[in-house]
Amino acid sequence: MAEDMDDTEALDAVEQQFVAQLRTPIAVDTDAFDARVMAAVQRERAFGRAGRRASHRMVAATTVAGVALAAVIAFVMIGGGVNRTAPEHPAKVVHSALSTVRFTLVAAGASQVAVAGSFNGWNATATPLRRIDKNTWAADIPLGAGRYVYQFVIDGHRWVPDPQAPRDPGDDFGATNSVVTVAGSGSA
Amino acid sequence: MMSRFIDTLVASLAAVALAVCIGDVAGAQGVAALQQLDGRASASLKAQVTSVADSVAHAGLPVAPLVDKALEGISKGADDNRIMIAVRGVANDLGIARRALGPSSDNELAAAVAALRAGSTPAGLTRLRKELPGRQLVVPLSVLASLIVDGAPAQSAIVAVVANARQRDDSGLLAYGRSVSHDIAGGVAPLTAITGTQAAPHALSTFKPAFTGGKTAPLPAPPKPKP
Repeated sequence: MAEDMDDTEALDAVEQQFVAQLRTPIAVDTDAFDARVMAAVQRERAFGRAGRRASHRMVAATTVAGVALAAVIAFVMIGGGVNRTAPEHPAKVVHSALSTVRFTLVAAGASQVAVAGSFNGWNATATPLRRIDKNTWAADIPLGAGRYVYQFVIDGHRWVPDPQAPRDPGDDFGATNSVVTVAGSGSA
Repeated sequence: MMSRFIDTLVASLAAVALAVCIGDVAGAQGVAALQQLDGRASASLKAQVTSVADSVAHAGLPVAPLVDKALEGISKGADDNRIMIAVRGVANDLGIARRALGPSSDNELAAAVAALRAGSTPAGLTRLRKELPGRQLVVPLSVLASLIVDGAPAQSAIVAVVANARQRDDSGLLAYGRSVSHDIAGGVAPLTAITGTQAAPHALSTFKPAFTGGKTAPLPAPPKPKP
């Protein structure tokens, strides 16, 4: 029992020391403390403004990106137009000049001859041939590179193919068209 | 923050929608080719052609061949039903040609339609594209169509066109096609003609071209007779 009393007294002594240390006043520089607090507050305000600015920048960037994406889509779609295809094969772009193609037809007894085809909207009167001798008619027509189909129109109503030209496989309207193919430049 | 993001997202989507609308307008501009039908086609025919053209345009295919076919039918006095059958046929063939050739120019697609109608298979067109990489295929396809029309077997014609296209430019390839046609018209069997043109250069020296394009290559001189 006496030992218990000694232990209790010893413990109290230790506690007293702790309490004494805890109760010791700490020197506080109030001015410096206020300055630190105010600096912290200002940093927080600055961070808030920067964050908002970053947010605005993000919004603007997203908008610009959206518009840019829209522009790209529009460009792609406009670039193809209705013909949303590559204007030329991507591997090789050929810018061909016009070539003069002579169309000739021997048509005995004809009073007028014209040529109609995919190069003139199948207009039976737009491209008349001129008589170059008694029975021979001719016209020189500038054409770009490509494949064209056509027929001659004699006296405004009789459609005839070119006997000297290759035939087109299609005969959708009962008469075989002729073909002229114009080579492009640099087509090695 | 979240509401701003949503606003931005909506704005972006609106811009994209606008772009799509602009693209459609561009399509409408392309469909301006259809204006060639004004004054020449009946309202009903123009409406039907426009409908097909719209589908074709949305598939990324050229509209001009459709309009061209309609104009041909009008000029030749075909009735609207017949014209629309032809127009739909062209539209269908354009799609087949595109699938066979891949990315292509409008001229290539038009020439490919001719090759298909002559009797080439889509696989044949694909082979032509693969065998002649980087080359515009308008002339090879046109020559192929002509050879087949003249009676050459399609597969053999493709082989012949590829072989000759590798050795000749477009003008030379056209000259080859003309000489083969001349031989066939002269009685040479088509298969013999397409494979034996090198052995029959006299055809080139005697052939009178139907037209004289400014870029037509000069015809080669006939070979010297062997002793």
